[in-house]
This record gives sequence, structure tokens and C-alpha cells, in this order.
Amino acid sequence: MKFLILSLVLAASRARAQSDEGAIPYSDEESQDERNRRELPGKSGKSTDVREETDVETQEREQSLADVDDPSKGLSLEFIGGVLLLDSSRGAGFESKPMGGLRFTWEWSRTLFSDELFRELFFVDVAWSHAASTEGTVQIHATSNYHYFSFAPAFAFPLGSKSPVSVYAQLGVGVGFNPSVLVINTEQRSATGTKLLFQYGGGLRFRPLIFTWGRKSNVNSDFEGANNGLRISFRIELTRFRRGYIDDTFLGGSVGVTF
Amino acid sequence: MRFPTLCGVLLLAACEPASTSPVKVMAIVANSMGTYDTKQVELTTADSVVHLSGKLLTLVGGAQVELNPADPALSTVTSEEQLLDVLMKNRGNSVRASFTEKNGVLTPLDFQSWGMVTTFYNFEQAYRYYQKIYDGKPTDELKGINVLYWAGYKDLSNGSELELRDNALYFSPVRAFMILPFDKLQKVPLSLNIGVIGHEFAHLVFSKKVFSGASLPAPITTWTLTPFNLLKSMDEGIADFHGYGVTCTTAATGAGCRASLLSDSFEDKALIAARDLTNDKACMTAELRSAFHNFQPGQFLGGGLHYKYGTLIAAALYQASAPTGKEDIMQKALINALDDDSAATPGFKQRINLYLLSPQSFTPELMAETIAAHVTDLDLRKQVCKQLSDRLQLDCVSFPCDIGGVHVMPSCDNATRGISCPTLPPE
Repeated sequence: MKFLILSLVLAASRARAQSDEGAIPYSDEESQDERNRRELPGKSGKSTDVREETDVETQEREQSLADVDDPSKGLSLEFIGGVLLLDSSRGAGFESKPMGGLRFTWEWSRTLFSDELFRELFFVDVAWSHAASTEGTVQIHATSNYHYFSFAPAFAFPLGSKSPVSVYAQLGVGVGFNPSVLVINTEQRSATGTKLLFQYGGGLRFRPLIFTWGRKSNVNSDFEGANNGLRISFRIELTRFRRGYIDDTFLGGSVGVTF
Repeated sequence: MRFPTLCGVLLLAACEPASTSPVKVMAIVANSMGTYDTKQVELTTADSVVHLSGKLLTLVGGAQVELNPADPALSTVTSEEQLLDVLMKNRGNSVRASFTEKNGVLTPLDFQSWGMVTTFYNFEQAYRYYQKIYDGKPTDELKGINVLYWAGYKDLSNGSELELRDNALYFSPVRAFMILPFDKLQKVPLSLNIGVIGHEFAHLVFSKKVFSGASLPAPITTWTLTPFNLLKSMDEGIADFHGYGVTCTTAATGAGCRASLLSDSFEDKALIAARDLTNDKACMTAELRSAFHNFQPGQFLGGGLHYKYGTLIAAALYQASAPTGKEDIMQKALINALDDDSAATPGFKQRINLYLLSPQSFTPELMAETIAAHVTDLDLRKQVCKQLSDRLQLDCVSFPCDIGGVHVMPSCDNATRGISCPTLPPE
């Protein structure tokens, strides 16, 4: 055992002794190096021409990453609420009634365009809204229901780059469905009117991001996007409906979610 | 379908329904069972069924009228047009009734459209009634009516700033009918009650015939006590009788005559009974007679006493003519009595103008004499004399009721005078 330890110590010593055998001296003569470093000029020479960018490189440089910043498809479902200013048939201006409904929105420009601005410009609404009115005496009275079904494309302009707020204007068509019931004593008489509906109006639309999920990496670059998630959408609007020869005005808004 | 054609179809669908008279519409009318129902009728004078306007009448919505005696602008009024400007705080707008169309028949789609269409129809029926009893005389003076539908009307002379409700009236200062919103009345709205419309139309006829359509007739602004009270009472009484007559035009809808005009629209049974023409116990009372002779205009009208006295006149006319089926003769006689420039049988217009500055000569007896003189049927005339004398307690000395040189009522004993009413002691 003592011999083993001594051997190990002696071996180690011998290793150190080998590393200390002395530094390898530099030659006194400078060796020739094909690069001739000491003869290099004081400034660099004319650079060579930059090569042309390839088509692929150009395409990659011009590629918009807006869909990475905001990969949402622009599909929204909203609840509509507000007040309908019914055109008074008795020529007294309007009569205000509460109005509610549902709206489905597709921001179709997000699908067709990759440009950051163009993606925000267009959407289309498919909506149903409803108001009702009851008037008359106890003996003779009538209840009228007003259903508005509309398809309305819109043009929206965002208020700032990557802004979740846009101002929009809209024009659409649809159907005004107007069932009514007249009650005389207890007898009911029903009638339903269906009229072509024109819709026009505008407002402010908001779609702020509420929370995100996951990270998405763009396989064509090293950039990693981080904005896929749920957005709340709401709007404040003034919309007019022309049903036949009658004009109604809706003041209100809607709130919902956007994916 | 080509695009231009498609656009045309879409635009047509957005346009108003065609209004070539007659227009078939659904309206709310009384039926043969004494209730109300929807029925297809025709509007024969409408140029626009949506705006409910035509040569006969135009419905105006959203109008505001304010009667304020303290309004300083009234002191500067020098013409009827200026008076209209002062009283009409808002001239109103066109109405736009909402319809659906099926098989060429328009059905209203909301309560007000039902109301307006029916109101228009009722005015057409009333006009048709007056056209008949004008008996060939021109009726152009009855056209071009404005009906202020659902009007806001404030009468500040009553000391109240609240808008009036539950009424329908012809208001001569604005030369228009006013249909006021209902509030406490929850039965048949007044404008849907054809008897009420017929009654109000009678006021237009009275105004045109007796006062030449003046906004503020001179007797109304200058007479007091008995002459004024008589003038307003006979206006109401004759209107009640004509209102009943208009209900008889509803034979087409099966409803038939309705002598109790208010029963369809009012709950107050005492009020309904007080205006019931068929009540053969409608008689003068000592209190009413005293008020008639002694109350100033505001007090007489404020107590609704012109309706009470008027009902006595209407009941007399009804009781004289209805039992023998001679209402049409009576109706024509009343029209002729309003304006007759013949020296032998002057009408109310002539008599009022004659006594404008001596109104004490315009008496109930003179009124009865004027009416009786225009009744062409002698038997009916006798009944008219007896009924008016009995119910109004007329002075039989000054109202002998001369028929063919023979006094119908030669004496003042109860045998020739009294029919239904007890004779009151002298005042």
C-alpha cells in the first residue's frame, strides 16, 4: 500500500517535471508567412461588389409578419343592445324602444390580405336585432314586433398602427320582418309585414387582446410571434334601418368575443 | 334578372303602396253584435294612403296647440292666419301609416296605423252622411279638413299646464279637428267611434253654415248669459243628433244606428245616460233652467251644462222623428235651418246676425221656431214643436208653433204641451 501511494506521488511528480522541461524558444528568424502581415497596407482595399439579392431573399424580406403579430381570424360573436328610435307612424318624430340582438362578424380582409393595414380595413356583419311596441287601450290594443335581419359589409380604419380601435362605416341590405297582433276585447288578429331593409351607419369598433395562448414561430424566420389569443370585441354605433318607406335609428352597441 | 331590373324591383319594394282610390284597407268598425271588429273597407278620397291625405281631409301628426289668454302675442293678432300662428306651437308633420299588403288589401301593422286608417274612414263616412242631407247643395265647404291626430293641446285658461287627454273636438280657432291622446278612457278610442266623429263633424258644419267658418265668431266673443249658453247648447244638441245619424250609415258594416254615442268609449254610466237620445225622460230641471239663465259663459261651459241642455234638444229631435222613421227629414231640416236667407224662414245665421247687437232676442223659443219652420213634414213639425216645448219648458205664448196659419200649441195647458216632462213652476 505504501509502495502504491509512493509510486503515485512519484508519477505525479514526474508529470509535473515533464511540463516544466522548459519553454520552447522562438526562433530568432522570422519565418515567412504567405500572408505577409507586416507588409499589409494601412487601409483596406476596394471591396468587391455586393452580390444581387436573390428572389427568395427579396420575398422573405418583404413578407409581412402582421399575421404573426396578430394571428386572429377575425371571427366575432356579439350581443347587441341599445335603443331603437322607431319612426313614429303618427308623425310625431320617433318612439324609443329597447332593442337587442346577435351579430356575427367576419373580418374577411385578415384572410385575404397579409399587409398590416389592409388586414384591418374590411369586415362584414350578419345580424339579427329585435324591438317590440305595445300601444292602445285595454279594449283595443296592438303589439308590433320589429325584426331586422341584415348583411352589411363595412370599411374600418384603425386609429393607429396595430391599434385595437377602428372607426367604421357600413352599408347593407336585409329583411325587415314585422309581425303584429291586434287585440279587440280578447279576439286577436294577426298580420305580418315583410319589407326590404337597407342599413347604413357607423361607429367605433374595439377589439383589444384579453389573453394569449402559446407561442407561434414563423418557420421562415427566426422571429417568434406571441399574440394568438382571445380578444373581446365591442362597438359603439349609430345605425339606421330603412324598412320600406320608414326609417328607424339604432343607438347602442354590442359586446362579444373575437377569435 | 338583369341588374337594372333588379334595382327597380328592390326600389319598388321600398316604396309606398299604391294609392289609387278607392283603396282597400282593413279598419276597426262596429259590427252587428254591438262590438268592434276588423273589416275590409274602402277609402274613397285618399290621394296617399300612407300619409292619409286627400281632397276631403289630411291627418297631421305631432301638432301642438296652446290656448293661453295671457299670451301677449294674442293682443297683436289682426287676422285669422296670425291667430293660427299664435295658437299652433307646432304645425305638425305628415303621418306615415305602416301596412302590409295581401291580395290588394292593406292591413295596418301597428296600433296608430289602425287608429289613423279607421279615423280617416270614419271622417269619410261622416262626410257621406252630410253630403246626403245637404240634399244636392254643394258640400265643398266641408272639404280640405285638417285632423290633428294625437295632438298636444294645452288650455291654460283652465289654469292647468297639463296637456288635455281623452277628447276629440273641432277647434274653430285653428280650423281643425283635434284627436287627443287617450289616458283614462280605455274602451274604444274616440276617433274609432263613428258617432263621436259624426258629432264633431257637425260642429264643422255648424261653424261653416252659421259663422261662415270664422275662427272666433262674433257672438261667441261678445254674447253672455242666456244667448251665449243657448248658442253653445244648440251646437252640442244638434251635433249629438247628427252623430246618431252618422252611426246609421254603418249599415254597410252591419252595425246599425247607435243612439248612445258615448257608450262604446266611456265607462261612466251616469255620463252615458245623460247623453242618451233614447231617454224619453230627458227633461229640464229647475237647476239647469236657473243656470241657463244666470250663468256666465265660463261657469256654464265649465260645468258641462251646454251638454246637458244640448241633450234635451237632441232628445226632442230624436223622440220627434225616430218613432216614425223620419230622421232623414229631420236631419235635412236641421241643415236648412242653419243658413236660410229667405225672408219667410230665416236660418240661424240670419237670425244671429240680425240680433248680434241685441242678443236678448235670441231665445230658446226662437231657436225652436227656426228649426220647426224648416221641417217639411207637417206631422213631424207638430212633434218637433211638442217635444222641444216639453223638454225645454218653452214659453208657449212666444212659441205658438205656427203650421199653416194654425198654432199647433194654441194654449199653454198641459194637455197640449206636456208629453214626458212635468211642467216646472215659473222662475
